[in-house]
Amino acid sequence: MGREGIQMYDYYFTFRSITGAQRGERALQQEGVGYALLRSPKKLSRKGCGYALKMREKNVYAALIALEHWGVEYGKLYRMGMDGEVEEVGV
Amino acid sequence: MIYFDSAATTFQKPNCVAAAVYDAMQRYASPGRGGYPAAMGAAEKVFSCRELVGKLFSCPPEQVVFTSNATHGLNVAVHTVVRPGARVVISGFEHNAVWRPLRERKADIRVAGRRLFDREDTLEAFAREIKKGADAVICTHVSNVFGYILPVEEIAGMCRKYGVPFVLDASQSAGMLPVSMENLQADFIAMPGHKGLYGPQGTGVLLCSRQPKPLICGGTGSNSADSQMPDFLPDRGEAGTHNVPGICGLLEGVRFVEQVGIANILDHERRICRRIRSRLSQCDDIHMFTGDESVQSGVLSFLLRGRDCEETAEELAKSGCAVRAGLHCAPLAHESAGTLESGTIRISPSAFSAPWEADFLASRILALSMQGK
Repeated sequence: MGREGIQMYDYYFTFRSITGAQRGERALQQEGVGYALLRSPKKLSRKGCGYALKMREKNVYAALIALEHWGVEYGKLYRMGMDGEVEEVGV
Repeated sequence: MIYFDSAATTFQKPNCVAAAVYDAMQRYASPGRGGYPAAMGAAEKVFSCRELVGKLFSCPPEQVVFTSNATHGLNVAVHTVVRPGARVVISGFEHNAVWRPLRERKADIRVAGRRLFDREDTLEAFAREIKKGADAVICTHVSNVFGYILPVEEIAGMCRKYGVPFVLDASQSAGMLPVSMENLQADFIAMPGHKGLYGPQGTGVLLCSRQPKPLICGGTGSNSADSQMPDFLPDRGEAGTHNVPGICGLLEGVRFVEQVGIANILDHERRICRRIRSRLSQCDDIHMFTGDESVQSGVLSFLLRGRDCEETAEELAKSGCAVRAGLHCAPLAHESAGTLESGTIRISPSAFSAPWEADFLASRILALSMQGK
């Protein structure tokens, strides 16, 4: 929990492969959107061994716009709370 | 050594290529496996190479599949588009990297166009064979023996018109002639990294506009829980650990080509060949296989009357000149040109070949022609 009891989330755009995630990375770099490229948490990669672009909530909307603009397909968008609970985010 | 065997592999590379290979061996692990800096650093380099290759050949980075050489890529392409007994049209100048996989696959091979440097004849022959019904067309862009530039843009157009899968062997054109996946709309374009792209041996690229049928199955660092190979590129074409040092070197080689410009490289190689040709033309005992420069790249084959081609190459090697003699892994090309018995001696410069080297080579060849007279 963050200050004043507000739940903080990390958001994950998941990709099937490193190459897919890197295409997404390029799109975010082009648009100046903050992110981190990392291995998908195991609970987010159903088929195993995926990569994700992780970011805070404030960057998610800009990331969605960037990925669409550059024609990058991602797997799913998840949010993970500080307690480790995961939910898929519908867009 | 005075090196004129670039059609086999470019020997002189930009210094940054070897430096990149060495650097990669110091720094990088395997891309697409771990999440630690050495793995992510490797992934960034590999993706950068995909991007730059994609930019040079007009395709998205994920359509750039790394192979170990052009032969590997051509085998993947044949494995994908050619079923046993399929009717496949090829040119009369194909390399064994096309001929042998097709023979192995027991394809019904139709050879179209046998006249050297005759683009009209090539086009007519391809049109005839394609109209009869073809399951696939595989064509070299440039003959590795004679430097003949085939009319692949028109052949690709015929394939599009008749809905025939088209595979391009860009082994001798990548880095020297415009090759565009977007324009050609080929199914596959195969090329080595170690010739006109100035990368290390052990690298190659297969541009894939469609899913390849995997020649090798194994780990891809993706969809690991799935027992099938991934159904997306580039992973479907890349089982196993990448040649990261090689790809890092290839990245620098492609950067070099982009900076110098493919037109400038071709122009330079043609000038070197022109210089050699003008000197050798002084001797009646030297037969050169030449056409109009517009249909010939920087590759020149010749024969010395009364001398075995391999012995001639050996004598030139003793003088410090590296050329290749014999059949150049392309018996079909020699059969088309009437040189299957004799073979030829092939001269193939690179962006690094110097005019004085051309003069020295020509003088050695002329000296050999005078021996025994």
